[in-house]
Amino acid sequence: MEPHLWTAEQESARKGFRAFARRHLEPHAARFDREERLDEDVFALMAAQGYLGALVPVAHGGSALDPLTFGFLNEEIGAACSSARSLLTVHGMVCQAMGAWGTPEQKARWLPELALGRALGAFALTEPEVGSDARSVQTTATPDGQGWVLNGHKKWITFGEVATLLLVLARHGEQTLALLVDGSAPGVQRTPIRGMLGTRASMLAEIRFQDCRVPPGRLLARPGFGFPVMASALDLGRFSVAWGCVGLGQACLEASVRHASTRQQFGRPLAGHQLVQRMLADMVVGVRASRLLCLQAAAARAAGHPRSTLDTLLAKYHASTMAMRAARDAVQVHGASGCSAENPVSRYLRDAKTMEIIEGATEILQGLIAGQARGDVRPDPEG
Amino acid sequence: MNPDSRQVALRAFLGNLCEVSTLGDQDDLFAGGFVNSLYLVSLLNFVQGEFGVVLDEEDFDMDNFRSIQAVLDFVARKRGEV
Repeated sequence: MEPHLWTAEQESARKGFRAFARRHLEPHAARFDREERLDEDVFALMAAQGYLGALVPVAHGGSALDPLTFGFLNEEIGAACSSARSLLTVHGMVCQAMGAWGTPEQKARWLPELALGRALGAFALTEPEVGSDARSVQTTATPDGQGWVLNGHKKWITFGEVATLLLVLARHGEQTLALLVDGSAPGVQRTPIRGMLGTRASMLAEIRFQDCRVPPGRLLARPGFGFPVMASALDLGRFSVAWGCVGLGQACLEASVRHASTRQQFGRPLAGHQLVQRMLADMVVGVRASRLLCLQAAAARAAGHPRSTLDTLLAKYHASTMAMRAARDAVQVHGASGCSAENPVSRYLRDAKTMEIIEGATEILQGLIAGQARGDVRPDPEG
Repeated sequence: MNPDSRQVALRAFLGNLCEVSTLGDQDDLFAGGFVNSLYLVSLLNFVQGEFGVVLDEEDFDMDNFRSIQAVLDFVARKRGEV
């Protein structure tokens, strides 16, 4: 691939992530998908490797990975099991929000727990009637002394079934708030969601808050900053998903090349047929192009460049749509066997469809990217 | 960095996010659609990194970031210049 674009240390970390994924995730991913849950061991193993503390500063017990290394982590985990990558995403979003917006007291209390996996984070924004239009959030937070009382209904919350620390978007009048809520607090009712199309082991849940008391010290930033807090977490989520999609596309490519090289039809391997070659070529170019956009987003993030958010939008948009095309073609290359639950490419296709929806649907990203298109217009050299 | 340099740097930064040729220093960045919540995070990072201020919890007030002039005034206050 392109090892000249990153350091030997980053390449070494990447190989370590791949070895972990191939040993602990890939052999079990089909079963996770079938059982619609990750093994408890997976949480413990990922915590022991420092993966759950990837975005936590070393001072708080984390591994503080640089953006590119974090990207590689998501790519390699995503190539083996998109549900495990989802864990990195939502847990990382809570860590990121805490690091960016938390008070010293909040960071000292929760970041070490999140880094060790003793606390598991989930991002509770979506509601039955509120998806992409997050500003219309209906969950309410009412002041109660120095704390808040939460009432509302969240849905499709990734790892909401098991998370112990929920980052919840709520409304108080015209202001939005980002609150940290204990998953087991009185007034929190969680109902697992089963039968999802893709990333089926992501342990989604509906979460109802009924007069749930949120004690003082649980508000991130201030009232009115709920949406910026969640937007910053979503930015990280998109970065994670984009890299995960590169991994998913790579898995589609590798499965397709293996099958097309060995499967004989009309007296020669499938890879010898030009229409199959077209699909393989599109996968190669698509995966590489997505990875390059992810590399650009990682570099911007590392430099604190103002276009980092936009670069992440581009990467997520391209990588998620690429993964969908790659997965569709991977099933096509495999023919009937690709439609079987026994074949990983059928899972890749279901997972890829999910990627086009989570952390910003394709159409939302297209709107945001188009809204910034003037930035790509070359200035007049005479101006 | 003096206040004039800050104004130039801030306009250059915002030029990465939105069309600034028609943006006045007093214009509302949010109401005018120049900056949305997604990019507010970049703006906050820029203010901290470029102007050497550390944001405290009480600084998270939209009015501090509502316009170019509001940001410049806020930075000056944080740096004890006014």
